[in-house]
Amino acid sequence: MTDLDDRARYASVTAGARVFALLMLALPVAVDGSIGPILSVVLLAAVWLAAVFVDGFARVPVMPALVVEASAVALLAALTLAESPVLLPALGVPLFIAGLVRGSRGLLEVLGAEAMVLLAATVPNDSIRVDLALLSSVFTWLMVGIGLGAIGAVVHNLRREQTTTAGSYREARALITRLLDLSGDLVDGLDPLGIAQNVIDLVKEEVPVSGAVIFTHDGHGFTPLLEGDVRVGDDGLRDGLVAQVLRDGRAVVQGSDVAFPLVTEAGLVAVVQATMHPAFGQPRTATLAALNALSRRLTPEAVQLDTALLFATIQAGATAEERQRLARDLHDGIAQDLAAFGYLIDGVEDLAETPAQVEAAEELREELSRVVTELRRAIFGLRNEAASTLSLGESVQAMADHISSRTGLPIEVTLDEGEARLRSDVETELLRIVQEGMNNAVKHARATRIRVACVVHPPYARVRVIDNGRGLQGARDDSHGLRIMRERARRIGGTLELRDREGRSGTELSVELNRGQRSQALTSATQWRYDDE
Amino acid sequence: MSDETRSPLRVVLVDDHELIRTGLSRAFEREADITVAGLAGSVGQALQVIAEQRPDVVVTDLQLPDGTGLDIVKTIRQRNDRMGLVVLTMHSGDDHIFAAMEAGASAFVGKDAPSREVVSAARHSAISPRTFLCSGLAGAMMRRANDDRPRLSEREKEVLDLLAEGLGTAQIAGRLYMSESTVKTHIAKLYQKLGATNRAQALVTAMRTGLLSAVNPS
Repeated sequence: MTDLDDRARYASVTAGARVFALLMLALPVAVDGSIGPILSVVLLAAVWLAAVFVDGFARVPVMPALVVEASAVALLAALTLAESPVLLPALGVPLFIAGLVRGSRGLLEVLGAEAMVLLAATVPNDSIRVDLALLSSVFTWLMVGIGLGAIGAVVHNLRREQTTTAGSYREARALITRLLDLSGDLVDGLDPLGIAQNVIDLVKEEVPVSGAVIFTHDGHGFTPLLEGDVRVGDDGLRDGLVAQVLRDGRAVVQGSDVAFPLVTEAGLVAVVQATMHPAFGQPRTATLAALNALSRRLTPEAVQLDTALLFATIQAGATAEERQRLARDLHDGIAQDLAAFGYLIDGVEDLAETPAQVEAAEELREELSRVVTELRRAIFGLRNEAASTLSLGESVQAMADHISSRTGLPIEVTLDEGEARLRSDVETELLRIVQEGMNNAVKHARATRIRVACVVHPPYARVRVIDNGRGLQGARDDSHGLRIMRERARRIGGTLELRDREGRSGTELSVELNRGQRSQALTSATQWRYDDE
Repeated sequence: MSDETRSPLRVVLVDDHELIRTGLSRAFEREADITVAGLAGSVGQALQVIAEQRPDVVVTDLQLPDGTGLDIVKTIRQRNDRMGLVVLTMHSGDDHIFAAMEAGASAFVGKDAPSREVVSAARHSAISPRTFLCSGLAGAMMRRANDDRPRLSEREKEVLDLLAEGLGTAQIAGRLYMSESTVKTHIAKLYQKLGATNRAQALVTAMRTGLLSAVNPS
């Protein structure tokens, strides 16, 4: 957008300002009756008439037109000073117009022009007595003009920001910068899990509950945030309660099971579901009232949680696009090349003459096929984050079957999982840890058998990989693979342990989420006996 | 199959990767009773070569510069029930398997499989073009039975994939030859089905639930 556009846009405003100023000046001058000022006002009217006329011509550049107008106005005001300071208010009009049309820069240009003309016209002129009253009067009207010009400049800038794409990006940039600064300052961070834990702690201070879980709501259903302690029980009842709270937005009590919403001004953020302590022998209505009160008191935390979830969404959105790009690059590039090499190796296999050559070619082909399979999976995984419709246990089983068929090493998988699923990113990390664990056992441990046990009762989960190989043999603790496994575990708030088995040869890798709830999660679970025969 | 009296199986290979075309055509040429009748690197080229050569079998990649292998499969299957159509792809995911099956393909082979599997799929497809051969089909069927993801129409899937490519409404309208307002309607329905209020959310949900498995339309 150019100054010309702005001049045209504000033409009616600027013309209006000039007319208004003329009217304002005309009355005192007419009342006064002396001829000089009347002539000046008429001249001023002529100047402004010309200015309005010039506004209509796109060919006349804006800046010189404004400066010339301002100089003429200042000259008229200065020449009239000998008789009366009545024309001084007119100085404000060019300032206002310049601010409006050209922003603060225009304001300064015009101010400079007016000041110079005033000085040049008054100081050498003996008929004008420069005294304090005159100075203060000039000063006052210049300041009024600057004030008007500043208002004009603000309007000018506002308008500019709103109407340009660059403006909206600038705004977004400012907001995101603020978000970045803010996220560093936030006392409780922007980690939904941490905030959820905080909410659960607060709830427990207020009402005697156990097994509190916080559910967040998205497009199709609700997901438990991982933190919190869990009660192994009737998932159907629990889900029903949460669904009811989501629908009604009010607390619900059913027997000892309770659920209440976390709400902000904008609406429902999450649902807290828990079990009342049996000793809390309040009647149902009193419990309801207490929960609803608690729900209101937790508004600040709800805002925190909402913000954190929103932030997580932004992050997810940003990563999503990057993942698509990566998947595309992998798919179009290296994956195709490797697949093509595979077909070429198939040709080598046919050319092989000795059984040893055939075997070598076959081995090479198998390894390559495995790599390409992995790549296919990686591409799919990148495009569809943990897209597997398999549960974690089923995925572990499938992976174990795959590794087992490739290596000939028996891998025995024990599963104990309920209907509820972990969040998909948590599942992905766990799966990667187990994969690395199984591969390590195959590659380094010289094991003859591997057992994998997988317990998933969200938010509790534990996966163990146990082999009967030669053990850790020291010095593997800082290996690259282990560091990555630890990092993965840390990311999902889990505990990872890798150690030699007690009293036997072999290693045990264990990763556990929400260890505190282990006893509850495992009471209904199959017992954990992994003794070698 | 190496019956001397029978004419050789004529195969057309479609892939935009030259190295893949070379490797595969060598693998097919090693078979005494198969000849490679033509090679193509795009949908347009493929349809032309197929029309000229009238092969017994077409082996096609899914993702091609000017469309997808399924476009070829559908086009041929509309008129011809006896041509073997093998889909060969780097993509994995159940949706591709079903899409290939529904388009009328005879077989679905991953690019990780050795060439002899591609060859045997081609032989199978020549014999029974209207049965569907795919090693992962049973598993995919079972998973589909338990599938509770939102059901998207074909159009909505196309729109979703283009959204995932980062295209705007106008660009999508251009790609799919529909008006912008139609695209907007599709996008609104998509958001509704995915429980999303904006593009990023829709994309994230689609990724989480594995709806983005379709080949990126080019």
